[in-house]
Amino acid sequence: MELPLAIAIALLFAGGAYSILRPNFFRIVVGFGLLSNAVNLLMILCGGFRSQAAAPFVADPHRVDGLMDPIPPDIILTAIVISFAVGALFLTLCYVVYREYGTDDPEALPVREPEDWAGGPARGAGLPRYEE
Amino acid sequence: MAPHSTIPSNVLPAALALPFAVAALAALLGRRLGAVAGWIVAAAAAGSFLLLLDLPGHDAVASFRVPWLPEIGVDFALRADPFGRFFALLVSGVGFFVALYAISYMADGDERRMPRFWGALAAFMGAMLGIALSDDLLLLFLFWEITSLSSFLLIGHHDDEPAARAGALLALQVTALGGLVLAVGVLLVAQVTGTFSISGIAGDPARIQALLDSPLAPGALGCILVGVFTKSAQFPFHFWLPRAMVAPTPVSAYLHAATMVKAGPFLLGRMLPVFGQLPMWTPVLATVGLVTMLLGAWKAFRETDLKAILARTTGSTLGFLTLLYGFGAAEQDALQMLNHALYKGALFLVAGIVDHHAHTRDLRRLGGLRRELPLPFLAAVLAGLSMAGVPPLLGFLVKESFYDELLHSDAVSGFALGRGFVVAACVLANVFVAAVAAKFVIGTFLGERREGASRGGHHAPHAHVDDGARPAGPPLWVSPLALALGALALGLLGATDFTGHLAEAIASRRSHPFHVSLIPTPGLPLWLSMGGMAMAVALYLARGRMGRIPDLVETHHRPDRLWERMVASLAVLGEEVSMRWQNGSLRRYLAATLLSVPVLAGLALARAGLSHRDVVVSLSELPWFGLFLCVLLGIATMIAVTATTRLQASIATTTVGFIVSMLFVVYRSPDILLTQILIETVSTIFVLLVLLFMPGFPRRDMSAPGHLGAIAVATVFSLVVTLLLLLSMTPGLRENANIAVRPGGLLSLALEKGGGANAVNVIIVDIRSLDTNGEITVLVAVGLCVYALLRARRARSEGGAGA
Repeated sequence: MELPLAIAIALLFAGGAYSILRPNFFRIVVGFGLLSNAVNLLMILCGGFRSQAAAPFVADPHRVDGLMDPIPPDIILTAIVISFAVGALFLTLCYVVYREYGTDDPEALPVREPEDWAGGPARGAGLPRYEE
Repeated sequence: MAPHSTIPSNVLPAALALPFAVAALAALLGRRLGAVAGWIVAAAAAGSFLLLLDLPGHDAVASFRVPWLPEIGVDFALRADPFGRFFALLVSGVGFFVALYAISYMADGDERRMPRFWGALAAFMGAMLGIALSDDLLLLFLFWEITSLSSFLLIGHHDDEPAARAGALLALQVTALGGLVLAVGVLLVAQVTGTFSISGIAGDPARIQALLDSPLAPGALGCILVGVFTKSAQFPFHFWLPRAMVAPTPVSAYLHAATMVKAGPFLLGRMLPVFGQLPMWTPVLATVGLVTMLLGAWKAFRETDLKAILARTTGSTLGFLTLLYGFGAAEQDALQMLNHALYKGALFLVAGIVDHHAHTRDLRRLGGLRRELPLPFLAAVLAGLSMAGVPPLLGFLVKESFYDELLHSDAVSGFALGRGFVVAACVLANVFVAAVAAKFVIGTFLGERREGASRGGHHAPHAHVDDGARPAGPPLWVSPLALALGALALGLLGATDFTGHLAEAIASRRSHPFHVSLIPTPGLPLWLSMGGMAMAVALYLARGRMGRIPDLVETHHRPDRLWERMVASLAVLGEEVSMRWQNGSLRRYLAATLLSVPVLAGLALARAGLSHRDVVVSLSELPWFGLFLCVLLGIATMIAVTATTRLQASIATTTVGFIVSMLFVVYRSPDILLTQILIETVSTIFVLLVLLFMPGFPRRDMSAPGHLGAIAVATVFSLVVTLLLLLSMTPGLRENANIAVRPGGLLSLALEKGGGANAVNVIIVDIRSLDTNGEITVLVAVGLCVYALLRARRARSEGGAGA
């Protein structure tokens, strides 16, 4: 039982969730980073890792006792790369949105009403209109 | 029901497929085919009619069955029992004459709409044949919905007119909604009986008994009845039928008088052997039928538009059919279906001729057309007499037979309102209908020629007059006259064997001997008939005085307007709700997403019977180095969250990343350690670059309640996720079926097959190579996106500078 690490993970989740709920693009990027780290550590713990086990380097295919399970680090490896990619896209979007709209508050962005949609229906235009 | 031997027949699917094939042909090639499309549809109707007529006789039932969805016991099952065959013959027979009529009638219409018209008409005919011949409840439902859809297309034929669109939409809403409710009923029946097969249920007393004993039976019947009532325009769903009269007249004649609206009574006939013994059967059907019958009769008498008159009397007749089924009078019902299809079809087609000829359907402006339209006049007289129930037409036989039934059936005396009331109501409705028939025929054809009924006008009334280029159809009077003569012929034949034979064929449960004869036999039915006739004449003569009585029924609160308002407010409500819920606030979406985790996980935990009490906490196995890292991680996280400057936040986040990579050391995972360090370094550079262009944190970004809400959501989310994590680590709850670590597992395979000692690497590039390929694709896509996003502005500003 790795209670201290579980508590640290809980803090990461809470901090990440709180950050992405704040009305600031940069804090959302930070929160996203915290959440990805939290998930990666969570996979380590769920994977049943023990700090006493050996790294998964196989010398003899018939003697694999005491080695780490290679699947969780494998999945985590992919997750790290993907979250980097998504984080980079987020950051770029932050920058571009700020450049275009002059704000880093997602709530302050103009909400496009349906009538603004190019070629889309005006508000309520989908309703049948009856002649009286 | 008499036992019939069942013989497999391929004629049934052929008769059913013919109209659908023609529908596809007409819809796809319609523009090129022109008026020929109409002839093909008529030929298909005739072909189906002849195929069905040629089926084996009365001691055998043709059937066809191929598995369709065997997993849930649904077959593509057709069966031509006498009742179904009768209805199918009615559909294809009337369909032939209507198609014939429509060739000429529609010839002056907009050519672009004709492929859709013929396609929908043929598809409708196929679907009606499908309803008649289906032996599977789901199949029947499918065809039922096709009739609703094709009816929508046909009512909205003149799609540039708002009234046509609104009428089509109204009919679709009511009938399709009813169809969905019918589907629920069908599924309930199948659930209780274990089969979708209609003959399998109706022919098995044990299944019927199981259904009747089931607590689901009233619900199932109720759902089926909603389907029936919407389709056949029964009160309180009667309002769509008059509005459907914006359809071209052949459509009104075919769909909204002769066939589609009879699908409701037809289904009642199918359900009578199954649900007939249910206590709610008679009271519900009889009451709804009575109300619809009287309402339609009264409104018909008040209308002045020819098609509106016919629509209202159709409603009345449909109510009467429902009433008869309520009392289990299946054979009278079938007779009345036939009679009504013939006379009402004929009258509608005559109304179309009058409309074409005089450019009005308003009785107040019509009159004296008998010399100009002698043959339609003859058809109208015959059909009107059948409608009024005058001998020797079929209508008379029908009326005698149902008076007889109403006076003798035990089911009628068991009805709460009593026999006297029912008979009086029926006589009254008949008096009104007969008076309306007189009003229709006399008002249109006799009397003086009126001002408004002038021939001429700027658009030519008859296509075959003005358009010699295309092959036009037969004269318009052919079809109504044929249908009206049919009513006469069947009336005359009734004395011999046709009608009795028909009654024999469809009789399912007979309460007393049923005999009709053209020669009136003295008795109460005849006196009722004659009394009714006299009253009808009196009512017709007093029509002017009756017209001065204020009509209090459905004038101020028209049900169709109420329905439309209801539908419109539903749409407004939906819009309001989604505008409030999906208001564009990303925070709200994120909070909802985060909260869905505790909700869903909580449900799953509650089902598994797990809670925080099941977590077993034991001492940490972490070395002191690991404990130290955990403390550092907590501190770095707190700093990253509470940072007041962007730089603080960036550095704290990077620190978190590096601490996590150190933890990977503790957990002996060199591969992810290296990856994490690499990525963390690149990210830091990236973040710092972006920081150059971004503004600082605002001093105060959220209101106090907003902060508290965010903290609450984050806390709940984190607690539940951690609970799941702790539960997953609790020794008794986790399964240690580790496929990788056992001998011969992934670890061994990595070296033996992958040829690499580092199992993680081998899995990444070898075993999960497709996954990794996808990962690289994501990286490339993100790279392209970033490039495009950053470049977009430059291109635009350059364009702006150039302009």
